[in-house]
Amino acid sequence: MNDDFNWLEYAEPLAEAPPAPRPSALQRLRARFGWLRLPGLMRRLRLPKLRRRRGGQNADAGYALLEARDERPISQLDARLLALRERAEPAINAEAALSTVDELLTTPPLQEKPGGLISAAALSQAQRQQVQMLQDIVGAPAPAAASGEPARLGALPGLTLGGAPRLLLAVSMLLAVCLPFVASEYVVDELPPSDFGGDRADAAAAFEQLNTLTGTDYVLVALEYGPTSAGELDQLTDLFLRQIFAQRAKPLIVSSNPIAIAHAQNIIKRINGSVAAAGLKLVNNADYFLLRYLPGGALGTRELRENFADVARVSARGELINRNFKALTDMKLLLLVAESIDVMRNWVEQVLPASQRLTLLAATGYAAQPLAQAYADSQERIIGIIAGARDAYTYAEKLEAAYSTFKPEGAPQAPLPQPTAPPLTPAPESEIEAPALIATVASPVPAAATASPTPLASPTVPSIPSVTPPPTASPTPPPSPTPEPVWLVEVTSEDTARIRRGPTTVDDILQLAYAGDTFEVIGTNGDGSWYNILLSPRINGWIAAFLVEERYEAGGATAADASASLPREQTLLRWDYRASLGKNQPRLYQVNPTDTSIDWEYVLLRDRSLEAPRLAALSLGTLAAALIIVIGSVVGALRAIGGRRQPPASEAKS
Amino acid sequence: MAEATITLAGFVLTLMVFSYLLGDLPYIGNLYRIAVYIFVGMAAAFTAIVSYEGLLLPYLQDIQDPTTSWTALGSGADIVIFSAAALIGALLLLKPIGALSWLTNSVFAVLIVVGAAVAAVGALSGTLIPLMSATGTLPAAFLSDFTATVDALLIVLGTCTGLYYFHYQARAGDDGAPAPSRLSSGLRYIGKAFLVTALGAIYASTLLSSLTILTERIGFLFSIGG
Repeated sequence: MNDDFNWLEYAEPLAEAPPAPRPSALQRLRARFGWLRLPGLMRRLRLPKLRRRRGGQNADAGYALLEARDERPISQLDARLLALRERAEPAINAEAALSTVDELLTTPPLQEKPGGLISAAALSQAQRQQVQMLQDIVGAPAPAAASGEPARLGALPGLTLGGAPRLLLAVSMLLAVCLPFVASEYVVDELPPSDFGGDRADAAAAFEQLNTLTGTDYVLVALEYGPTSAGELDQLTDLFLRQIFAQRAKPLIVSSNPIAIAHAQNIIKRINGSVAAAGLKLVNNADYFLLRYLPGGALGTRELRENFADVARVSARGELINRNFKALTDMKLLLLVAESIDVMRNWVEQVLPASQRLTLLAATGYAAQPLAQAYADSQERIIGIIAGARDAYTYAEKLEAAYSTFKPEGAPQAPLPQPTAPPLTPAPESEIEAPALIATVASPVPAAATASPTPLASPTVPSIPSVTPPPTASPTPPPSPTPEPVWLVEVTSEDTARIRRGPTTVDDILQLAYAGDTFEVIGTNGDGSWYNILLSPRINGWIAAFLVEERYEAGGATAADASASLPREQTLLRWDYRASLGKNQPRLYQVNPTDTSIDWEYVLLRDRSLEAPRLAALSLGTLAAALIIVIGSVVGALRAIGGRRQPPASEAKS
Repeated sequence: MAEATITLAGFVLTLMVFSYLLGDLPYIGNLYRIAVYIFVGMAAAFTAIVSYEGLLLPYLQDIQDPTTSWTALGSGADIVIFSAAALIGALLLLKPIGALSWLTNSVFAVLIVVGAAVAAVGALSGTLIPLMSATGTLPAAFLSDFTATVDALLIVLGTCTGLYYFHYQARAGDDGAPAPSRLSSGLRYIGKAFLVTALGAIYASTLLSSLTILTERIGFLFSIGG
């Protein structure tokens, strides 16, 4: 040994020990509540020790065995543990164990597999350096360098076909799908039929079922799909909702998937775009209802069945719906748009047993159709299945045929009022009556109607009256009503008065009223302690007599006027919890009573220009996919026959 | 303006999703991931908002107003129910704390067991019994309605042989190896044919669904371009 050698010159200075890292909040919580761990807690409580059955398949069982070993001599151990101990004994000798490390940890040669479109481009400079570093660490031989050839990694020889077939297939598929959109005249494809044939009697029955709805019916529409299926199922939902609106029925939209509620809002917004040309607007909580979403899968749907009155009381925005639904039997029909058979089964199992009167109209995508169709065939109370884009096309055709009497461009059959004709009575936008509708629809509708040039075929299904200008559409002033005394009450209470659904203090609060507010009275309860008042032409409520002062006014004042005179007209509501906490003013939600006399057939106006290209793209894409599968299968078979895929001899031996 | 912005965002996001076709290339590969992150994040945020507005807020309002009660027991019972639900929700949040995670597991156990019980009862009354009765039901006019009869028989045959395919017991042969009988092998072969046919139909239908969604997106892109 060279004594002159100064080790200190080469020794790296001792670095100061880094300060111990401050424990995270989670670690501190764990330390503080460590005694709360279940075993420790059970020891404190002197509860019997939980131990899994010996010989189980999990780690705890092994732990239990190790604990038991301390209590017994080694000779009494299980044979399995004894065998393990014998095998582990040589390893106790570290030197002996380490001597075989090189044999045990033989570094496999690093081999490059072809991958990526252009292998040289697929590896960045940093990645190459990392690969080189890995090679150095594992001591992998550099075969190319050893043989004098250029290294394959880092300087790859140009193009390899590793990912090219995948790109080729993707491009072929994309071309097939895109072609109908850019060159529809060269794509000859047969469109789906305009009616469901005899073998699709179930789908035809579903259409007829929706066609029997009336203005007093409510339909529970369950949208059970997420964003991945929306591209397929949104069009079915769109058609169903349009038909429901055209029948003047009202949908209650519910879902156990919050995203589906967002999609429903988008679809209704689109439908509102259709009726906007007629000056109409679908109003939330009046023309349609978005119920609060159902958490918990089967539990949520079961809650809907058991507590429908409660579920159907609050909208997805936390607003009071103001419909006194009692049970699911208040619904004329259940309509389910589901992306999977599991969801459909859930609804059938949990909701349909609520009543024998309930029937379920079901729609799915192609993916769920094979199982859903078989399932629906076995259930008498399921109507449908309507599935996929082709059924959606046929359904749209039937819808147009059913409403063929609706001809917005035919309105000039009768003299139309001038577009600038003022409404007869000042009314909110959502309460526009038919005269105002016709007045505003004169110019824009023909243009919108030309977007659907499908010939209006059969004049059948006359359940929906055609749009004809009502005689009251003339701009002549209405006859003045005969003056009659109107029974009114004026709120005199200095505190906020509550208007309730019924003449008791346990009934729901419909609206808040303030001193000076005036309402028309339509009756009282038995002892006269409550007034039944009109909040709007279609909504009435009850207010306690001691909060108001009654009076009579001669003529003129109507319920609409009374409610319109209020600063908080058409507001209805419930307490906001923030108001209860004294932070803000009570939040008032708007409730807009619907008017069933409006011609909602305008909801049927929709752009169908892309339907044919989409169906053609679907056909061509299917053809391309089938070709790809067939060619891939043939190539695979040929490779197998040719033995290209046989494993190497060394691998086969192992 | 807002409508155009939303449409433009949809256009860009659709292109970002389609960038997946180009593979895991530097920079470009990240576009797909970013789009997915946006979708997942927005879905989670929307779910949280809907949960708050549609569930928590109405309950909070109801329990503070003694005049509204969703049970026949009055608002006092409402407070108890809401408190129990809030407690269960709070216990679920303890999962990251190792020492207290057993509380979360206990709550999970209750939820899973209750959910399973509800699903099992529903499956029995709504699916299994109706399916069994439908499977064994032959048309009244056995020969006149030939198609329905064949359908029913096929369903019975497919159900039985499909189940038998997963029957692996066999007698031991002379050499000790399992030696299934010819009848057993034949039934399993038929069951396998039914299973393969069913899986093929499901695969084809799934492919159609995917293509429908693809055409919808392509149509959206062309509707903007056109």
